Amino acid sequence: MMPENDDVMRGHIPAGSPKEPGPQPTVSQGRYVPAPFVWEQLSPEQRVLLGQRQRSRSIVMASLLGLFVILVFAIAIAKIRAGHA
Amino acid sequence: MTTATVTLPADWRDFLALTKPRVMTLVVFTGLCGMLAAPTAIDPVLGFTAILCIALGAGAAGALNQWYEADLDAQMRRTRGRPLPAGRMDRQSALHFGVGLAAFSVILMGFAVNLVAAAILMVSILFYVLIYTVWLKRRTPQNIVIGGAAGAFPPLIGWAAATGHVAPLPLLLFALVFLWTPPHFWALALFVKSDYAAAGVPMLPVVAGERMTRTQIGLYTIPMAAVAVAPWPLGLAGWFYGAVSIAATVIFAALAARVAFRTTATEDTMQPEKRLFAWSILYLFILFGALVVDHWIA
Repeated sequence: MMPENDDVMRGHIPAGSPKEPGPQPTVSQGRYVPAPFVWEQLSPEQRVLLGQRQRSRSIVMASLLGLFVILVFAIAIAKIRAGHA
Repeated sequence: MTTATVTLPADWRDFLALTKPRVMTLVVFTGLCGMLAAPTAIDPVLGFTAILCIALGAGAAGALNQWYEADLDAQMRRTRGRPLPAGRMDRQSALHFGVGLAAFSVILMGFAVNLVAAAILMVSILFYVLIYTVWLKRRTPQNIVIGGAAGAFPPLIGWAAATGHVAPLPLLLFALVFLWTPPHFWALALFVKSDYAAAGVPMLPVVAGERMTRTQIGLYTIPMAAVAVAPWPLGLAGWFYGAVSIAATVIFAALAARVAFRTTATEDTMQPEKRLFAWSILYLFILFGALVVDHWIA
């Protein structure tokens, strides 16, 4: 059963079929355990979307980390100039 | 038919949406004005860091609010498109993101700026999440009155970041935002009343009715107007702030009076309430902007 395009875009992917329901979320020792992520159950377009998301998240994280390093250097210089260090 | 669902890792834009960027705008602006109105000039890099921390702290509070209120958001038309109720993100990711961001913002503020600003930032995040979101919001129609304090902290944080202490002027700014919150939110609540009622949130129009809400809007406007103008006669601000605050407050009071004394007709489009809500946002921008300009003129 192929998911609706809207579902794919929202990242909310129905997995498995009515006969083969796929992994289910469970409750273990009172804690919610999400359904395991099964790569084989993703359609080709879902795999492409997953790759795109991971790539864009990596770029954003790397950029933020780089900016944070620059900010730390700038803070250190500002503190030294102000005579705090 | 049983269908299991597999949720893909959320997009980075959904994490951004979790921080409520539009709410953050006003928070950052009031924090920046609190900093710029302080008598001590702060190093630009440290000032930028302080504002960044205020923004991240507000974002963290917004993320934790959405994490806790995902069930309510799903029932309201205004909020059902948010990442959690729309199913674009799992709750655990939102929780980790919110807690991580909150800790990061407070620690960075403490190390880079000063401990007073960091402590107030931490109190404001905890107040918004624990006092407003978890405790008050679902229990009492006074939720936004007490919870309004959370949104009033940023000018105090900005001032503390610049000076390292708290003074009468930022406390007045705190009181201004605190007293401004009820008329602002109740004007909104009047025209999205059905949404709140459907979600079971005890907002004043739902619990006490429209008449009481309109009266309360009028009553809260009186002390708010007094606090808004107070910095001028108290000698904490100059003539420019005095003139702008009186003009802007007269408009606010006129719009609030119009809302307070009218009754909802059949097929009412609630235009006066929408006008008051829109002006209330602009009002805060104008007052804080005037305070900074006044400081520069002085």
